[in-house]
Amino acid sequence: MVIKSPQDFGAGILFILFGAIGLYIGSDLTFGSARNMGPGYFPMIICGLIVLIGLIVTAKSLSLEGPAIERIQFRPIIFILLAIAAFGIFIAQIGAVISSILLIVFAAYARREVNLVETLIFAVCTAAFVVIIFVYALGQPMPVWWGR
Amino acid sequence: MEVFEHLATGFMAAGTLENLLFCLIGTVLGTLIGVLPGIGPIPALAILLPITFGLDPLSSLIMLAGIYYGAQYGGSTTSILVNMPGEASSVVTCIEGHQMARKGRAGAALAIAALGSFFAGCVGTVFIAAFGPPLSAIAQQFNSPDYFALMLLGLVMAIVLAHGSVLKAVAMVLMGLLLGLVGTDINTGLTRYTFGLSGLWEGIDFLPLVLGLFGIVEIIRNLENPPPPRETISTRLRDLWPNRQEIKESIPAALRGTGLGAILGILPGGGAVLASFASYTLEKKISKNPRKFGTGAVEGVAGPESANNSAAQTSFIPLLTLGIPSNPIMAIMMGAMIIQGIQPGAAVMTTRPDLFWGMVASMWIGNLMLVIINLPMIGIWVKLLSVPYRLLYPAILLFCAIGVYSTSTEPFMMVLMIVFTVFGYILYKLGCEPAPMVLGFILGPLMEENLRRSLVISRGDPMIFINRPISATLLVATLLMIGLIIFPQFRKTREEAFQEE
Amino acid sequence: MTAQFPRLTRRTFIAAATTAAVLPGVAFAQSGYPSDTVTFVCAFPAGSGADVLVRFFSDKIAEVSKQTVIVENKPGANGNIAAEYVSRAKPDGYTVYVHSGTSTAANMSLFKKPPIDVTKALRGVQFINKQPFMIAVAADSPIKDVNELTQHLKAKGGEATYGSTATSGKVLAEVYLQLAGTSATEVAYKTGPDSLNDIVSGQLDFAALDPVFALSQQREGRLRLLAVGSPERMKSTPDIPALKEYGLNVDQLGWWGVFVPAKTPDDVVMKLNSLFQEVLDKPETEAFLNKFGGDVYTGTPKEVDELLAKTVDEWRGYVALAKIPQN
Repeated sequence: MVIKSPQDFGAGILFILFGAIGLYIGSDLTFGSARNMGPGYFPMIICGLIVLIGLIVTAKSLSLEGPAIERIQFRPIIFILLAIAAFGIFIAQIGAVISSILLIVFAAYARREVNLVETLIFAVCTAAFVVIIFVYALGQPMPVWWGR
Repeated sequence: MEVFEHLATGFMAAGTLENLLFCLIGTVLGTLIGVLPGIGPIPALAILLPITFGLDPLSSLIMLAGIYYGAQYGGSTTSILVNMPGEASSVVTCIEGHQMARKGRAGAALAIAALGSFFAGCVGTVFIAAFGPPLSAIAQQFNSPDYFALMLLGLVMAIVLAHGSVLKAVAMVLMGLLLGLVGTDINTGLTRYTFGLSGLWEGIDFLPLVLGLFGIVEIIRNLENPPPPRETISTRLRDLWPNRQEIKESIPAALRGTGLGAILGILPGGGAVLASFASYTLEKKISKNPRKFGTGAVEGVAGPESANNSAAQTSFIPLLTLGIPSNPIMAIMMGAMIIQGIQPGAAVMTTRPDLFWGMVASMWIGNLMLVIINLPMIGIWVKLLSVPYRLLYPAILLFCAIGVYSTSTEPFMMVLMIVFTVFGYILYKLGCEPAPMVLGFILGPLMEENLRRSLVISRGDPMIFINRPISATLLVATLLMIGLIIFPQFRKTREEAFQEE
Repeated sequence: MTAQFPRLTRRTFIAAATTAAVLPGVAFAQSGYPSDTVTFVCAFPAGSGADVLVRFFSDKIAEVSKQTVIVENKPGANGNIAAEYVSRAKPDGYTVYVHSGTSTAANMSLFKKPPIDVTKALRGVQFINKQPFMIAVAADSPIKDVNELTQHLKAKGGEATYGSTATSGKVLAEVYLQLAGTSATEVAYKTGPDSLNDIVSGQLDFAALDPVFALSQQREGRLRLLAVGSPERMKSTPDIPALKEYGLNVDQLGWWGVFVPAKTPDDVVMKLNSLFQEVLDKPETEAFLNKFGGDVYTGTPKEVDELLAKTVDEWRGYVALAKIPQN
């Protein structure tokens, strides 16, 4: 079996999985009938369609040429996600300023060449700027530092 | 004509130094907030609403309307520059506008967006003045089956948003639909697909979803494939301004978009959202060169931006004439009016004409101010693009995170954003486009709601969709649209099949 | 400086540190509450009708207390997220929950496992308003009062439909139907405006709506309001009869209230109660609340706690009667 279009193959598999999981989870919802639709009617049909399309797309990917899947680079996505996670975890405890700095530093490391000094200076300035806008100018409810 | 007399009253009321000042403050504040990625008009209005409590009614309404438009203009700016939609209607601007920016035509895109919006704003104001009441009477005719048909048409149009495989686009719309159904089912009160997480009980929030799928994935994409370093961005007017070709192509698109948006904006319950998508679909379908869509087609900015703005104007009509808010933003305006002691509705036109016509006039003034403010700013925004990306993207990310945190301080929102970033990344790697999914997410639940509601009202009789003239017409339009989509595909498949041989 | 006490999470070192800080904090609060920024928690998203109400009060309380008051939106799970958040906040009066008492109480019955027991985790401070849901028909409908509606529904023999917004609407309608001895099928809407066209065009026989929307459409001449669900007529709408006057024993008084974490000390609660009382006594507040379809409602913290407990019990019955599925 030669996969002529890896991207489409992957997409097809994704659709099949998505639809299948949807069908499984939604199976305990009442289906009802066409005239009296229950909460499960629409979702089940949608999931069925998604699986169907997934099968077709996968089949087509075996016969039609298509683009290959680009290599996954782990560094960018992992550090970006870490940055967001750090912000989310720490903001309520340590406050906006530190969390913002953390986010920026983590995000900066998503690139290979990182100039730590420049990044830190930038982080502090941006964090200050953002806090001034959101907390003081707009009055948003978020802790600036770590509580009293 | 009476209308001109009314407008004159309005301009006098809105043209006082005080009100002009409030209009200016509103539009500037709105633009600034709208430019921040991650914040759209709704949070902007909510945040700034208390400032207006102490002002007198007309001034506060003028300022709020100014904030609203300003946020829309600002949102277009972020969509074009960094591919971050702040709300549903900015998603479409991202598609073509950002591509134009990547090709170095950011200034042109911004200018066209501003000018198209201004033109639409003028037309919209005239619309409200002249046709307000009769138009809203039409909107009153829309019942549940009609809304269902409209949403269905919208979903089919969503498929056109993609420029790749139609099959994949359909799957994306369907997946978006399913995601939209997560939450509590309005008809039975039961929760669907919530995995027992209380944070999902009221559905997946729009902002983390769209920021994750679009904005953050964009950042990751740029990090994986850094775009070639651009030569110094010239700030010569010639390069910031659309060239003759671009202007020529934009004008008809802006006209069509304005008309489309004006009609859709009146429909309570989602018309305005459809406006920019509908315009995009229209432009793509009637274009002599559909392949350029997705690579920076200027009609794809002019049309939707005009549609967006004229819909924004006309969405005031149901509120000002009937007292019905047609979308969440209008609901905020209504709340503001009530606090000021004004009952929005038909009576306002007669009991306080200065208020009604003053508002109408101020909308035009606001649009004018925004064009005047934004056009020179284009140079600054484009300069912003020349900030080294290694500094720009962490800042953007921070704005997203804080923006989301402002709307709700639950850590769950961050989790959602992370989940959708991962999902968006997978989609990007597999060549699937997120735009149709976002539309499916917005329209899908509305469609299901109205479908089931119509069937309950008709006691299970599906003929209700065909018996009503509006829904019948819309359903026919949907079938036509499906035909338009499938037919070229057949031709293409046949061509491909020939090539294989 | 808008510092805010961090949420007490179970595992962090910081939680231990702040617990140690509470003791001097309590003493601090006793001397001159409020003396720092107060946070109002709103269980609705920014910009919604309810959010406007909370922001209005935040504005007014800021005036009378001379402190900054900010609004934090914590929407979701029908108010459970916000309620739980407040119940776990520091009990010093700086985290205040302004929400529908009816909804807070109803959550105890709407969910299989409510995250908190509202009668134990929260304590009442003050009322805000009373707001009954209303029974409405199209303005051009031949039905002039509740008796005619009941007859009309009986004649349709269960084939009738009604529109409802929010759980309170559904409950009001179902209770009415049961007491009137007839039935109708519910058609649910997320918001009032969504339902308008269907009511006016006659697709729905009647509707049970929230007062803000119902009143505004009555003013526009599109709806006729037949009755309110409260046991007596409302001061702000004296010409709309109560269902009780037709012999239907309906007592559904929706009310909004102010709540704080249960362990908040009495003097802080009393001070907050009096601040709200000051705001509620102002004529502009009454005008505002009337526009939002309700009467001003004031009382003592004890009365709030009692009403909350009473509403929790009532709603157990309502949820069963209206056959609302539990999540």
